[in-house]
Amino acid sequence: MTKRVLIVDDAAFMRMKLKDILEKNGYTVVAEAENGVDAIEKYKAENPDIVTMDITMPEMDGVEALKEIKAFDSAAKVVMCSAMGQQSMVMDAIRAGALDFIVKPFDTGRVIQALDKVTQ
Amino acid sequence: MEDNSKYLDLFFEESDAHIQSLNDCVLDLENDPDNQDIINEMFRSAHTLKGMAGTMGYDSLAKLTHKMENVFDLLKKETIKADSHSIGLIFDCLDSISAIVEDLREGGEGDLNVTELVGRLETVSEGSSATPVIELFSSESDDDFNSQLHFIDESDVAVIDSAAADGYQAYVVTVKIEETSGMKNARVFLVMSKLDQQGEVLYSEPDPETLEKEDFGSIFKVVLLTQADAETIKEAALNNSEIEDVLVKPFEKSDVISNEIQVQEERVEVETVEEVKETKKETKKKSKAKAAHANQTVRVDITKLDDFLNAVSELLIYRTRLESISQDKNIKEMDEPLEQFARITTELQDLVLKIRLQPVSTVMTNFPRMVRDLGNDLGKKFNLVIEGGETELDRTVVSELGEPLIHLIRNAADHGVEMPDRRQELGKDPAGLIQIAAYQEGNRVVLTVRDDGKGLDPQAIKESAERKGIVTAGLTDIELQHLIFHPGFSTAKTVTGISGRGVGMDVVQQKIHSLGGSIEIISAVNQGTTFKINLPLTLSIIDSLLIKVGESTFAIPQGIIEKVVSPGPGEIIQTYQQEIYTKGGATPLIRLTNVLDIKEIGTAEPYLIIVKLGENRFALMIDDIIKQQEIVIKDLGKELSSVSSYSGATILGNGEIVLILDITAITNESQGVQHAVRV
Repeated sequence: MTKRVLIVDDAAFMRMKLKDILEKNGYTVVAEAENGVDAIEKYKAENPDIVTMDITMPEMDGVEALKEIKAFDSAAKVVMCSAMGQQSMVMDAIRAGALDFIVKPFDTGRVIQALDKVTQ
Repeated sequence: MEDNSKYLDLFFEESDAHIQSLNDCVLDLENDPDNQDIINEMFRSAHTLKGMAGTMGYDSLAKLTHKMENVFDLLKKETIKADSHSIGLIFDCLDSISAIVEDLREGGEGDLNVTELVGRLETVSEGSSATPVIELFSSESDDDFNSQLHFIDESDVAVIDSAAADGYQAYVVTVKIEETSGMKNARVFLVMSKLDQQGEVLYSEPDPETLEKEDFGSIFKVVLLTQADAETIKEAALNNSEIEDVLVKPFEKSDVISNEIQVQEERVEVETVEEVKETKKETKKKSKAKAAHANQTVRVDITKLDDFLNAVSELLIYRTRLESISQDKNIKEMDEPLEQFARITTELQDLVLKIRLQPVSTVMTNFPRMVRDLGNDLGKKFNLVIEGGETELDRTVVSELGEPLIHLIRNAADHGVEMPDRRQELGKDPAGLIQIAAYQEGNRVVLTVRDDGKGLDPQAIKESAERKGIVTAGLTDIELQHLIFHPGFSTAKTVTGISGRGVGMDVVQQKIHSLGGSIEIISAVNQGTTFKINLPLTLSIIDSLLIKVGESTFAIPQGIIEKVVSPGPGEIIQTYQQEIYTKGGATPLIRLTNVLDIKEIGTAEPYLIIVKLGENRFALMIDDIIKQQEIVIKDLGKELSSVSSYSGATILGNGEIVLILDITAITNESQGVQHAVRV
């Protein structure tokens, strides 16, 4: 059964790129969210197997959204998407229960490796 | 290299939005240098741009935005101030980013040289934080991928020994991260947190501080005290992405190469790097009031809309055909369905025209920045007011509007508004007003560009015009003012880099005419000048007059027709240069048969169509009038693009193809613009 993914990123460009990578590799993207608030709503609605969470977003950032999703569903599998220079926020996210992180710019192999590991 | 071409459109769209947002933010920041919300938004925009550029593989852009992000971060932390120096630098960066994006859009590589800007950005960053270049010490090699430790504290050994009694085993866990993996320090943190779930990490090599600073190669080792078996531990460490390999070996004292403290002399610490840390502020950021709601919109490629309009237009054409067939054959049964068909096609047509509407503000977004720069260049102060930006026009009209508007604003700034001291003498606000307003008026849209500067002095224009050999005899003040639309006219005493050499106003007028619009001037000395542009809502469907020239049918856009007359005897006279229609003034006469090279049929009672292009009138001689009709303009296509007398074609109900006359081009061609005679 294919894994159902929720993509969270404020840039449509990034969502499209990531969606392409995921769908070419057997994942199903069930929803996309463009900020943290949106992400929480979509998580509750779709109950995805895995979430890719951007960090820097308007409205509510990825770390806050992660915390709220974890509070709602402690088994939520969230992989952070981060750019170079955000180590401290990634560390915050890991402390808050993020299972892994991928670094932009996205490398197909790495993205898939991270998601495969998390959903094993 | 991955093929990213299919993301290009989206990349450009979002890049443009972020560049615009940055420009707006910096302008706001200039007035409100301590506003954290603005800085946060700038930071986000730069960050997103960086991410997109990196993904697309545009190195120059990624590098530049990365450095900008660093500087924005310092602004955020209030380490540096948003003063004129830093704002100027940011503007320069934005220009460079725009240039790179433009280059990419034109199919270039986008690899403009950004070294100078990067250097300047780094200079700003320095002093507040060290140079953000991390020298990775890759002194280790694969040979280091073993379980040997350089040092362990005696107390740790004691802990290991005593814990053994409780069934805890110490392991040396050696982890090799993929060489090219980014953010290795966070990766280490991730692995550590997984290992922590299995037991207790007693010791790490390099030490935690070095790991956090990312001051190591790709291998790190920990001593883990755990009840789990080696396989489980290996699994826990390996089960993270970007981990190349993991070694797990029960700890033995012999693994420690030296028990001497040698860490100190290992290397002189490289000047530590203040990594760009996300401050807590970021995390606790308040959602902004103007935050985007989840509005129910869909992004559509504009070519799809063009295709949609095209399809609807054809539907319209066939509706007209069906109607004429039904009438000819007198088929009663078709009346009702045809009526419904007509209603629905009209609805569709309205709909597609509405969808294609775009707010005029889309071309105005750059204006604040432009006016600011003009102010700096000219040493003047401006107060830019934009009203009615939400007024909508067909996107083809909107996209063509930018250029003429920019020209008018530059003129207002350069020629209109006086220097601040002069303005004070006149009792005006030292900051000159430049106001752009848009509003809808029936099925037309009016745009005005107003300044409260020195106005157009008819006498100055008259003198200037005469020097240039333009005949001014008998012209009223208003007509004199409109002479600025005359080709080759300029009132500027000196040529400036800003509004050029007197080419331009005529181009502005031509552009507006080609959009089916008109432009007029309202100006009073020392009170200011207003340019009033009147435009049709859409260019795709117009009211037209169908006429006959010789045996051929043509369409003329109704918007420019002033009246249609039948010339009486003696009302057309031949002057030295040309024929003139004399009733109600002297109107140059154009025989369309000549211009279009059509055989004359010698109609006994020809008609004259009086068209008004701006302030100029022309009388077009035609053979017959057929009727008024709403027509859909179809492009002539590339093959006929060099034919200047026609702006397009349309298909009539009977299937006949009719060319639409481009009156501006025809009058220019037949008169030579310089001979345009005023009424």
